[in-house]
Amino acid sequence: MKKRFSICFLLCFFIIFSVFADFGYKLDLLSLDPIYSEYLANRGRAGLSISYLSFSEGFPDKIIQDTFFNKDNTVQKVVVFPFDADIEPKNRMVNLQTGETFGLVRNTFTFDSWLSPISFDFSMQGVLSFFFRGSFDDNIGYDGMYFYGLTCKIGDFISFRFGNHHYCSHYGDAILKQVQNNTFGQNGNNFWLTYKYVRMQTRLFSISIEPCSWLRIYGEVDYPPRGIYSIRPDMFAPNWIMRDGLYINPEYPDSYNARIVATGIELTFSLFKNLGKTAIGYDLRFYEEGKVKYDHENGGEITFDEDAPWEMEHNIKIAQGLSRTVSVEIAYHNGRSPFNNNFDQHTQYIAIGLRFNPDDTVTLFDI
Amino acid sequence: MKKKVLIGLVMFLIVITELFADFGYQFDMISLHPLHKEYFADRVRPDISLNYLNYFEGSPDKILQDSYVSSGEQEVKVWKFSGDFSSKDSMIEIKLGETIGIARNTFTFNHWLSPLSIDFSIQAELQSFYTGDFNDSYGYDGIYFYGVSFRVADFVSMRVGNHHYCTHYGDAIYKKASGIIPTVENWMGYKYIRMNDYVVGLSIEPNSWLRVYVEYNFPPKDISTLRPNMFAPNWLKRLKGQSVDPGYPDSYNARIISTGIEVAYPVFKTLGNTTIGYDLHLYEEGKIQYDHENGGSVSFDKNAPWEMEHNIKISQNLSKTVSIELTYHNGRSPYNNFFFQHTEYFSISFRFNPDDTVTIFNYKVK
Repeated sequence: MKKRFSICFLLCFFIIFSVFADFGYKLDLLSLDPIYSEYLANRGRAGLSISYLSFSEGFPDKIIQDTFFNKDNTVQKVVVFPFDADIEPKNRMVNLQTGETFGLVRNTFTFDSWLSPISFDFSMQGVLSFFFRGSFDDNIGYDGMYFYGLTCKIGDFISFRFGNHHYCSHYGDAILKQVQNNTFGQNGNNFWLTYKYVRMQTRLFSISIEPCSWLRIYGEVDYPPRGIYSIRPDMFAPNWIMRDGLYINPEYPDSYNARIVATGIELTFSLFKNLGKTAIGYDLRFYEEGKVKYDHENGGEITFDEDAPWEMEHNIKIAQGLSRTVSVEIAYHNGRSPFNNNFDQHTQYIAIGLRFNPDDTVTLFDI
Repeated sequence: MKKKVLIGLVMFLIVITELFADFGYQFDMISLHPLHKEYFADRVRPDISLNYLNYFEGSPDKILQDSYVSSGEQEVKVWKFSGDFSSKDSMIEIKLGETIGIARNTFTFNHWLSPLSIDFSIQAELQSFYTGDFNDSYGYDGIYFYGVSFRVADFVSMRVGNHHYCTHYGDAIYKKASGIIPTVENWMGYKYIRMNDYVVGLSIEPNSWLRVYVEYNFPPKDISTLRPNMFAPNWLKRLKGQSVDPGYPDSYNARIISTGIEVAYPVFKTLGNTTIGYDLHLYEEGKIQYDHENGGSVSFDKNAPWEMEHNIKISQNLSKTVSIELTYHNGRSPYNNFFFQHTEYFSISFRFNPDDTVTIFNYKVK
């Protein structure tokens, strides 16, 4: 027994010794080069970019809102507010994204093993996505999105993130000017100024695998936890969500939980030696909210269709790095409106944009 | 005569040969490292930053608008909000801006004037303001410049071009105002706008740690729009050729003059530069007098001083791209639709400053 123990001990010792033969440790206070990289083709990607969108379907021409829960004890229904006039120029939009992923207090361990390096940090991701008229003056609206949680990466091969995610959407002046005739600012079934698509906060689990330097695949699930602060529109709330002591949608099945599942693939090459990398990405999103049915043209009753598929969204993006920081990007989108308050509108557009991607790091300690 | 021409030609040839002995030419398609740098302490500096503002004076509590020229005598209306905003006296500002040099030509040669650079410069900025708890938006300002910038011998730089200011209310204001302003008022699209001014900027850097600058901003006679109407010079006409403010003197031209000084030095060798800057803005619009508490008539006071604005900023680079900044502001509201509100605040910020360049061509005579 003693002999076996000695052999095991020696084996462990050699393994540990071998692993720590080339040991290194680094502490970064702040890094803009995330452990868990943003998804290239995701429309809500946290980045600094300006894009010009050309719509072939779903340019905003109305607002829909569902009625307040329990208001006047009436049945939950959808109200449609057509705009007084078209937003001009029609089918054009400018999208400005101000966002970044910050890695805070990053610990990186290097050692002599295929598992090296191992990194983990506290990650914050914030993005404000602004949508302007094509003439780049008035604002159609803006979405605030953020994530905070833990990220880790093993062997430059596999990375994870786990934390809380937030969506919130706000009308801008371009829309508010167009609904003034809809008794703007009054109560009742009339236009509600602060109505918004909000998920505050959902839980997020993500995994990303990079089997080689040019390939990445990822998967992500986003769901509301039982203690969620707010999820709106009310019609999208699962049956366990209560307000004023009453369930909002008691008739919805237990299986429904307003989940969002995303997956995608990214390929990166150095096609042009004098420029940066060429990347192509495909992002696919599924919204369980697709099972909630309503007439988004005329409004009216809301129903739940258990057999309906989840709503799908496709994004394809091609990016060409021009330098260390700047890239030009072309995107095709087919799915939800890029502006979350127009969640009801199926949208198709092509976008061309410039992205600025600083990836600096403030290192405190490196041995 | 022929002899003189010959001597002159030979001399010219010698000078040119000398100059071009070490000639180089570089062409950059895009550069985020501007020839005429942004003014460090300017509150509308185009940058990428997150700022937390703590007010001592002038936190938003009302809307002020002057009447349209068509609605009779020029007067100011004030609507006071019925309650405070959440997180009163604090505000979050997010700036997304950058100066982009396009098609930059740089010539290097054997002379103290070298290098000479010239490019087409675009400077764009969107600055948005949020309540202190970072949910709703007070509004946003769009600011841009486009024109030509050039730099001589890493010593003097200039920019000349068009400058634009425009501002928009956000949902935080709409919520507060919708119950106060009568629905018949067409107030939602009201804005402070200068579309577009001419601007001429000059900057001098006598050595690596010092910079002084001055800039002159004025509306040309064919300006597309300048609002509020009460700030328009007497030559500005609207609606069937009617002058907006015929009672104003010819000397008034809604000018803005700014000047400043910057000192940068690597105090902490392992970090980047430590920089301190002071910016002074003077607005000729200060001669327009009105009661911003109660509203009423608008008048022009020839003897009134130009409105002054002071900004002092200290910055410490943490790395190549990231810096932390502290600012003291005393002057106009940082959000242009509150132009009427004298404001004093202290802010703390993070700035991200990529300064990459996409070079297409780089040639040097050996």
